[in-house]
Amino acid sequence: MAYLEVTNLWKSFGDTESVLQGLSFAQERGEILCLLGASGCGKTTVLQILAGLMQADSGCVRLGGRDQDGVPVHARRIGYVFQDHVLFPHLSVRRNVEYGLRMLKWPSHQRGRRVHEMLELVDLAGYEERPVRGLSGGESQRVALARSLAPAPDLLLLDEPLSSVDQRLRGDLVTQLRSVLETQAITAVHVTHDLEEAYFMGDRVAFVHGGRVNRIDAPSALVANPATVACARYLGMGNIFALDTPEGQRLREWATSAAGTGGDRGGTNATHLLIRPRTVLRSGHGDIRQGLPCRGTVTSLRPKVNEVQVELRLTQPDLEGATIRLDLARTGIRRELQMVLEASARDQGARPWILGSGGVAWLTE
Amino acid sequence: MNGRLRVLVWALPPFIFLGAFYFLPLVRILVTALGPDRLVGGGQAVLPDWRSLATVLGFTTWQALVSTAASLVAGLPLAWWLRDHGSRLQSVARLLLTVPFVMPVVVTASAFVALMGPSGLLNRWLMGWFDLSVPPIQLMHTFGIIILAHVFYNTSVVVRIVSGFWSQQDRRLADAAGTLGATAWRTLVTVEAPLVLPAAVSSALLVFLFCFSSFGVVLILGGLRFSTLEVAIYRQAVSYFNLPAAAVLALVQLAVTFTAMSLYTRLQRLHAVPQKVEATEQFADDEPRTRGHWIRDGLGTVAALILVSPLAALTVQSFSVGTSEWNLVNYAGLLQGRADSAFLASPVEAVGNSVRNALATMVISLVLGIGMAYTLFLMPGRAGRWLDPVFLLPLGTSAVTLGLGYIISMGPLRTSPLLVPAAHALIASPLVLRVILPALRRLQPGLRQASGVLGATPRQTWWRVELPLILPACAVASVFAFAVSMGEFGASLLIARPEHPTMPLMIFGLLGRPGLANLGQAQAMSVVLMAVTGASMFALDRLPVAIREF
Repeated sequence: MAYLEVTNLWKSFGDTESVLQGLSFAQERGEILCLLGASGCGKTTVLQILAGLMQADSGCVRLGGRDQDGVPVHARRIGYVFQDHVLFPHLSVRRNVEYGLRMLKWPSHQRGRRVHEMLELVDLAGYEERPVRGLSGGESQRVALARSLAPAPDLLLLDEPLSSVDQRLRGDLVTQLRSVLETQAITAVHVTHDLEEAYFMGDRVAFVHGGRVNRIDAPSALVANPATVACARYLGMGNIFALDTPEGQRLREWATSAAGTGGDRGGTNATHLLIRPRTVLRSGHGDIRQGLPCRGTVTSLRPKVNEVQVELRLTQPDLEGATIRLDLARTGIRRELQMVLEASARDQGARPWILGSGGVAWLTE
Repeated sequence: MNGRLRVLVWALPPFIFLGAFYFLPLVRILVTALGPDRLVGGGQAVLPDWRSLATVLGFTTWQALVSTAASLVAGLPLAWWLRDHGSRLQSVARLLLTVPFVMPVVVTASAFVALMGPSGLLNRWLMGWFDLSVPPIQLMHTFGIIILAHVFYNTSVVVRIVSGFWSQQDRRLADAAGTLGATAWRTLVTVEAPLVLPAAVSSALLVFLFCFSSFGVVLILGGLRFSTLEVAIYRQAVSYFNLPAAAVLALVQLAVTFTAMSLYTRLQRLHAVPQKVEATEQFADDEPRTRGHWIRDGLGTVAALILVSPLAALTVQSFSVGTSEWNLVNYAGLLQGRADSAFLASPVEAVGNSVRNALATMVISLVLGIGMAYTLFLMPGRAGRWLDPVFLLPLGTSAVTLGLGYIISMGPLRTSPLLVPAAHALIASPLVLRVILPALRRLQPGLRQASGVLGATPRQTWWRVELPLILPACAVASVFAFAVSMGEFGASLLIARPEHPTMPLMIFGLLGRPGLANLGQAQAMSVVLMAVTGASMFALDRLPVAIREF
């Protein structure tokens, strides 16, 4: 049995559509799970339910094998780092950090030691007597972390803890956060909408969409194989084509015509085809013999910081009018250029424009 | 404890209190006025006939209209001047202008006697300069002095509301009019004035409401010749002990004030447009100071000084007896508690009574106000919106009506020393609520949650997080309640026991007695009361800073 088991959570507010629609996941002890998803997708609601701050309409939360239903907030032994930190404004840093210890009736000398230990952990030793009002965003985030870690909670919940921190500091903080959580061997659920943050923080990432966990996997696996349309979209991948249109049929043939692109998988239950926008594209020479060609004209070029976004309007019969956007690192592509795309990397050198391996992927709805 | 139970725990004390000390008295007034036993009260009660009722109502309305108009005439130019935050003179004037509003009515009355009475400062000066044997200014017991006293009070209301609203106006609107070719005057008429009109109207309505239920000013300064509804209620109840007649008048009073109140709140809701504040501060200070500014500042300061001159006169007069100035005879008289006094208590005892009442009021109204605030805060949705005006009702009910209600309904409690603090707390608790509720709403909801997940029970959270954070607001509210109780006159006059007079009652009594010694003592005591009220308000001015820091 997993350490944290969240099973079939439903939650709605008023008459609107349910925010959570049977959300489930399981998590091992010591694991950091990132809940990734767009704002309003119910990530924070999950945390609030886990902490007991909110009641789910139905569903079950088991922590360490114990059903949490009916356990009041203050008895759950859960650490919660809030989005805007919510430090107690009338208390000093030390009094904030030791608040949970007071609730556990720790004697004073032990509290002092623990506070010191915690502040050292988050690199804020010596801040004990400061009022929390003067702290910077990064400092108050770290105090909030120390405060929630001090009572050694069974589960730590982090609700976009870095969102109210200056963009420039975020990189350092996320590194520190990760190392703190690792040294404490803490089980944590980290909510974020930021892909990079999730990629770095999570042992696994659960992509929340439509009130459920849409996709859960190790971060690298998630990016390598988004598997669902929603996930691919959230990861910023464009060029997603439905396969149930004539155009889609044609693209399916084009993609499956070249071996090595997972053509087999494409035949089964895939509903969409993804052409990765950011892929290695090499120009080849010679005729197109293998596979089906995919001709198009470059209609616009939009320079980005490190690459150029190329809009390719397909001219291939049956695909006319469809547009593929590619982020290319190379120059030498101009408007009106006729391009022929090949879906396979096989037999390099013989093809005009070849999508790198994994340049296409199959998705399900 | 679940949510509903928590609301109940908070709501119970205020509901019981309001029921017993507000709604019950009102119902008894209603029954006395309309019920079958109205003829029993006193055996031969004479209900006011329509003609005399119309006369009283007519005068009450007329003096309120004139006072409102005069207050607007005095207040609007000052509001225009104080709409920006430029010079130091302006901040001084702003401070001066808040003083009249917070002064207890007996202090105002004594101040006008001190300035314009037969032996007042002005008459003394004029008689000295021109060698006159008769005081040239004969304003006591005239319509004029009533209006003047009302203007003294309510100019600051107009200034506060209108200049506050005006200062939030985006100054770039005026700048835009300027770039389009409008002169300063045209800008004022075509852009600025129309935009502050709602504030001017609601301030006028409020002033009308205050003047309509004016009691102390008319009773003390107007003498026997003038009678507003409030004064008529008092005379019927106390002088003739005709409670049914008083109850009928109180009913009319209630009807008018509630109508005006609901109109006022509706108007406020209609015009409560949140405006950008940042823009103002940016544009406030960059204007170069011209000669026009200095003239404006000079005139404004003079006007503000004239407005507070009665209080200055009161202070000067309190240190003089007859023509000899700068002595402490009056204050010494207060301490002695003259043996031939017609009062049942000495002045020192009156001070003690007032302070005791004020402290008790503070405690009761704080408990009530916090209860009300939490009730509204925890009560979800529509119920809360309904309750809010209910809690504010006592504020719109005249003190004399309340006092009358207590006389009629309290039975054996009539002699309880806690009755006066209860009445004061009823008047003060809406103010307490108005201070504490925003503080409660300002608390980040996350704080409660953070405390909960850290292992604190709801009670521990309240004690360790919520209470410390609303404590500054509670302090402000206590000072309010204290000041209200110290100055309260109307209700006390009807319900306080003669052997336990409060300071305002003693001042009222002294003012009504002949002789310079009595007058001097009244003025000395008024100065003490003024100092206490002033100090409270000064403390309030400091305290909000502590709140803002959170």
